[in-house]
Amino acid sequence: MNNRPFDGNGIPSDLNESSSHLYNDEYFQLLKKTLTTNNVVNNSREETKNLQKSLLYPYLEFFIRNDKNDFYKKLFFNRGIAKDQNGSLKDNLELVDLIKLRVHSDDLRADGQQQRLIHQDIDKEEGMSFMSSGTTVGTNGPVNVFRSNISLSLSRLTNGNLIDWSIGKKVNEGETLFHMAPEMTNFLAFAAIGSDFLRDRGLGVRFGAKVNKGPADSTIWQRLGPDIKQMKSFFKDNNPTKYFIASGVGLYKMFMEPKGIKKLMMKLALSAPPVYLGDNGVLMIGGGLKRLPSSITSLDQIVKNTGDFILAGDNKNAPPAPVIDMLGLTESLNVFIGVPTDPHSDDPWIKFPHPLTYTALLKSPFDLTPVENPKEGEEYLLFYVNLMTLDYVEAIIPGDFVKASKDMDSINTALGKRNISQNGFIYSRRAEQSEGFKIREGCG
Amino acid sequence: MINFFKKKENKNNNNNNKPKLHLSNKFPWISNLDKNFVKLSNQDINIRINEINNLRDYFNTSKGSNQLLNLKNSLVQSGYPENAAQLEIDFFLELFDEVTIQNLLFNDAAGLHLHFDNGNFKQKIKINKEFGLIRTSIGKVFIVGSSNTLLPVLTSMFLSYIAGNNTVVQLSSLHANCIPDFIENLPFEGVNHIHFTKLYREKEEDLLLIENLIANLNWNVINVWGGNDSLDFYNKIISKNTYRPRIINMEPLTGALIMQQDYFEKNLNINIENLSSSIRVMGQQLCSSPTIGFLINYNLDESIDNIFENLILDIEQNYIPSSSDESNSIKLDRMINIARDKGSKVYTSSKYSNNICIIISENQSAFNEYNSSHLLNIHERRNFIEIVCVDNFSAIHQIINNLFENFSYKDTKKIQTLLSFGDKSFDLEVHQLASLIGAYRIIDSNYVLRRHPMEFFDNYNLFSEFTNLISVVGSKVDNL
Repeated sequence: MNNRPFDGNGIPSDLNESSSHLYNDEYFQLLKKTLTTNNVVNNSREETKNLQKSLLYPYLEFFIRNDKNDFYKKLFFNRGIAKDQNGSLKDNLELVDLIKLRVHSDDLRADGQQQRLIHQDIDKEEGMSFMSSGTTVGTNGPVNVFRSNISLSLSRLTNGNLIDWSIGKKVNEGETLFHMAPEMTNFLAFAAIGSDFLRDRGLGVRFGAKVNKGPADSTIWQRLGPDIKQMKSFFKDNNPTKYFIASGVGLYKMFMEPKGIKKLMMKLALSAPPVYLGDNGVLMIGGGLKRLPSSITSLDQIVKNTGDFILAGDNKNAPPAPVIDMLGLTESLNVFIGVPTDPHSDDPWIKFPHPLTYTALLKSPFDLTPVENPKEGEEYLLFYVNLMTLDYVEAIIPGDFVKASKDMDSINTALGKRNISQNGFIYSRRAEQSEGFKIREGCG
Repeated sequence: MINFFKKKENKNNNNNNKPKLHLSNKFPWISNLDKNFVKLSNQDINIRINEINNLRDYFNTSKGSNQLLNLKNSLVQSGYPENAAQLEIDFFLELFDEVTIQNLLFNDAAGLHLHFDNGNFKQKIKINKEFGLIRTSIGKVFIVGSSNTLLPVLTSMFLSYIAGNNTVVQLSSLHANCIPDFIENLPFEGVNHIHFTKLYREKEEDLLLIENLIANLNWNVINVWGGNDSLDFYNKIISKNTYRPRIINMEPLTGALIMQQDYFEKNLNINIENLSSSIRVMGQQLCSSPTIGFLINYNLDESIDNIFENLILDIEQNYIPSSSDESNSIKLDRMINIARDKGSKVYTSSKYSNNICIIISENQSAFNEYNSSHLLNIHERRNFIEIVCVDNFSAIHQIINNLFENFSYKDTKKIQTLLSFGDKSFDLEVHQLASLIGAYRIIDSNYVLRRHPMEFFDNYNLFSEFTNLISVVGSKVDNL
């Protein structure tokens, strides 16, 4: 049952991490030990800082040790964190020095990641490449990131930490419906890594969409359609723990767009809405506003509109299922996870990084200095370093603006109180291309 | 057969006439252009020169200075940085300086000094017994202005008027209102001979009018100041004008800095100030603004850090923020990272971060292998210069030859200006380089924005271009 819906797509269930040449590397072993001893998401913020600090030199030394063509030795020197081009790191480096290693998302478009990979030959390295949707205009292709099986094995642990922490218990039973097609797990990071993790934890995984046949020149997105059979079987399933994982567009198309006869037909086909997720059910959402009508300006509009149709229980009187919003990026091995929230709540949707994701808020695109004490509600540019990504230095400025959240040690959620291991942020917007004053168009 | 062609010819003529009728409704001054030409042509040029001289006094009156202040305020409101607007006004006033006018109209370099007659402009001159010249107005001049700086279009406009032409001006949308308001309220006869189209190229409904105006009137000269897009646009239309006007295209060009390290270091503080102002002036967006530099006889030790760290400090002290674009700032950071990763020395501001950046690369530019998805165009850069350290002038020649294949220089035609910081023997090599790359100017830092009145504008003497030169030969010279 577990493997069938994948139909050969996505991350292999056996990652065979011990076959990797990095398996015996001391840094990998250190990470593995760190992640399996206890759930580091339960660390205090101070403990997280110390953990990140303790990993700083081992992390950088890992890349020097496993360097390909001296790329990182030169990079560390040129970016001012090494004394020479032989890999002697400067003394007294701090976490904020990681900003010097920044990679902008646009640098990972097309084959931008290739030179940064430590693997001699990615065709021989077991792993997968993930791609963004590639809809951003004026670029040279989608963001394209290779992830080796050994990195993916760490992502099972880190993303597992995050989901366990957010849900408030070890997630190891239940049913899940991904509102996407299994073929999308071949390239879409969020779909692949999320479904792989849940399958690995022993949950039943279904995919609520399928790729239909279509013209040869059409894209997978154009041929995407609902898999009524899979959806219906999930909705009918009486398991008390069901996780419905959908994009904003998916929810909109299922519950808001159909009107009149279409709505009736949808109800007949799916026996939904309402959707009963069982007493422990949770709605997990992600993605942006692309392909949504302009009247939808934020995902919480959709969640508020659909909250009364997606219920945590098995009858119409059940309360709305809590919602966990996640920020998944192709260029991040980890998601930034939200906490369970009542869909009708006006609380901000704070996203939290994993303790192995060092996160800093930068002043602005005009001044990329990490801000020591960001002010609550103010907008900053996001920067993060995934200390568990082994394939390349994943020190990324994704081009997203976020607002700083309140400084707190814990947060109340729809499913109880949660410890905060590292400050979170509230997603705000993408960097914009605005028309400044153009003093020059010609000569003079 | 003959009749058939005749009919067709008539039909074409009718088609040509239609837009003209339409244009006369929109621009009533069109119907007076020929009449006014006769008037101006018969008028002594010295009357117009006096008018321009009188404007100098007018700008010193409270009414005149208020008018200038209003112009400055309008420019600032339209988005000009205040200091840039003030610079424009200051240099505009220099245009009315007595010496400037003398130099412009009696320019030795262009042979115009032959017309000098006891302070007056003599239109008819005898060169020798058998050869003489009559310099007259040319007729109708159409001038297109660019948006980066006002001075060129204003200079063209006044020179065309002094030359005795009916002058029509198409301005950039940034200046489309404030300049006509300013000129039309000046106390001089020129207001009846200088007309503004007040059309916007960005507006669909104005495009047809611009095309009709340029393609159908018998312009004698069309002078276009603009970027590549603008030049393409206007030249396509001009090609439809069967009267074949004289075309004076002022192409988008740029500047290069050529530095001799030991020379520069001898007067370090002054040279730093001068180089800093050369980079900063008008947001580094002039055809003469240095956007790339070359360092010869270099020494990549602490002394080079001393030069460029101090240069950054000087630019910092005079830094004026410009409205910039978020995604361009990210691209700028990517460019800077490319340079760092290529081993170039990168100097940025501790106060303003990447917004002031000097990159020192060895032997070649760090950006050669990159394209539009990685690089900012020179028009999108401010306070940014890459200086390439080279062994000799041949290397500079080679780099400049390939420079315009680089995305940052897309739409830029060539190096207009060489800004030199070097001694005499160094400058002799600069002269040779200028000749090889076809540069138009070799300057010191005082002339990045400023033009010497005797200078040619990219090889054109505008006053000469706006006049008609009649050769009088043989015994007819006696009657001049």
